[in-house]
Amino acid sequence: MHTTTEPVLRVSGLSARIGDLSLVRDVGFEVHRGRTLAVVGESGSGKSITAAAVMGILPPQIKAEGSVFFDGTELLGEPARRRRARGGAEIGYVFQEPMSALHPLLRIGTQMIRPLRHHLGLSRGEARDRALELLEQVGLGGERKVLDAYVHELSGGMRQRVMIAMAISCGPRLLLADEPTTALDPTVQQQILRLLVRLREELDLALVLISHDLGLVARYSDEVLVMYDGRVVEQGLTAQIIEQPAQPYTRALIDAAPRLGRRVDRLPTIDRAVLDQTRAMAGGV
Amino acid sequence: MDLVLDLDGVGKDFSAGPFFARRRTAAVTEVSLRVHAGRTVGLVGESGSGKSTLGRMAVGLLTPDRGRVTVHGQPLSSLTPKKMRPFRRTMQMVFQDSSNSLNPRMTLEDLLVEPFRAQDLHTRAERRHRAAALADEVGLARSGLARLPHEFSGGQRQRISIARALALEPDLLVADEPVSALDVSVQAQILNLFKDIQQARGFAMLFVSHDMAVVEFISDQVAVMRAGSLVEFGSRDEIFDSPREPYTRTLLDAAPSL
Ligand SMILES: Nc1ncnc2c1ncn2[C@@H]1O[C@H](COP(=O)(O)OP(=O)(O)OP(=O)(O)O)[C@@H](O)[C@H]1O
Ligand SMILES: Nc1ncnc2c1ncn2[C@@H]1O[C@H](COP(=O)(O)OP(=O)(O)OP(=O)(O)O)[C@@H](O)[C@H]1O
Ligand SMILES: [Mg+2]
Ligand SMILES: [Mg+2]
Repeated sequence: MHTTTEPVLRVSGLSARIGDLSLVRDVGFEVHRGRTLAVVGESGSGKSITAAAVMGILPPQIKAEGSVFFDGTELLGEPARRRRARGGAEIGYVFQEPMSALHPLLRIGTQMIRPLRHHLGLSRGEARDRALELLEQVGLGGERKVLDAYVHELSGGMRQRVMIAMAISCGPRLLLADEPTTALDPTVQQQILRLLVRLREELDLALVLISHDLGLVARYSDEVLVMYDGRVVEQGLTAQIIEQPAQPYTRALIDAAPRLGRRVDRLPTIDRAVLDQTRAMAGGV
Repeated sequence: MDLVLDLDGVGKDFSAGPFFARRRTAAVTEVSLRVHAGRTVGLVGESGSGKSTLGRMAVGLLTPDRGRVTVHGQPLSSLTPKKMRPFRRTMQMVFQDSSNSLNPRMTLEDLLVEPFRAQDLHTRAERRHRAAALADEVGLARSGLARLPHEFSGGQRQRISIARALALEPDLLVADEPVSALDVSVQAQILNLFKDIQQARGFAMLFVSHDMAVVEFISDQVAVMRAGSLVEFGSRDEIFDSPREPYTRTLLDAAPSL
């Protein structure tokens, strides 16, 4: 059983604040090797802030408290240099907005090759071959031009795939992917998720998948964490929660998901009353 | 019904590759497509197939290398820069990487007031009033009006872009993956809002999305692109019930659903 082994990542009592404004409150979860934890929840509920806190890349004005325990080490409070070395090699991160993570004035190849040489000690030629191989894996293989391109010359979905290729390039043990497939058509999306599942198996990778796409979450995750207003509303096994959510918010979220074949005139939104109740339950005001 | 957007055989080439070996390739080969007032055409297709490029040509942000873009009977190529400015107001676009199109030094309120200022519309008080109302409509708390773009979440920034595009009540809206960063409830709110405004004011919309369920909800007609060309076009029901192209069928089959 996976759950009896030490988790790769254990987050507990994590809070993030800016002045006296609380962005994330008392978030806790575990991720095990070879498993996928999905994080779902309202836009603005603190999913990306939580991921940034784990990566140690919160903007300086946001202060994090609590514990982020990765593979035997407490990361919160670790010196910035050590943290940065870890990020990129041991922990891969797919940013929600690739444009903000990719350098506008450097070719994609330059950006991909640098960490491969630095972290894996590859020669220039080896790193270039490896970069091409990674691009191939994310479906950009026929596009030799991608290595020579600048980010503004790529389509939205191509940027997203470059970001994914970079995040997995150094063989991380933990991958945090923040809405990694929002710009991908269903067939490419499927290809990417199969790749991630394969890596999860081959490298015993632990995967955190932040997504608003519940169909995707249902299909590809083992556990799920539901967030609202900076807090965890519900967490547990995905199959169980999708089948029988305990919280009205989760239930409402599942009901609001647009489904193929349901040709309605208006889409259901979540009731004010459910939102107020959820906030009160989670301990907010 | 009024024809608003008429794309007639439009195409666009880009050159790419290293400096000495640059090659020109067609991002959009030759596409013809029409969108009428009060109607939405959903545009789906492979990543890199030219959807965003086509959308940018439709609102005059990119000049086609072939063919002609006509909006409200006015060929865009015939508009001088001076005539283009007021015309711009009638055509708006929500960009796929919308966060990147927001000025990082402007507050939410500035960002929502700016479209009115640029077109010299309304008094200062009225602009601020409208900005607050727009924030409400897309579900952004008024307490955030003084915040800068980077102080919002990805989905919140996406809604800022939507509010800006709707501010000037365009006749043509090109929305490029406009709800891709929103949870299902906020997404539903925004899609319902698009429908309400369209019913009230009858704008024409070209809606690019990879989410087939969303496309099925919002579209009257659907266009499918692959490698720079339209491979299929039809009414929503035709495309979803009996797609002719194998590629369209693959898209529908691969879509994850609950
Ligand atoms: N620098 C900041 N200053 C103030 N508030 C911030 C800052 N950064 C983020 N926030 C707020 O923190 C909350 C959580 O943001 P976060 O980016 O984690 O949301 P999210 O769950 O990832 O949402 P989305 O699904 O829209 O990406 C949001 O309400 C956002 O407005
Ligand atoms: N400024 C540019 N310079 C060079 N090539 C470009 C430029 N803009 C787009 N391209 C190329 O044109 C093709 C079509 O890009 P486009 O952004 O229109 O695709 P898309 O259908 O919107 O894809 P996605 O679904 O991934 O967003 C891609 O191969 C892209 O690399
Ligand atoms: Mg986010
Ligand atoms: Mg695009």
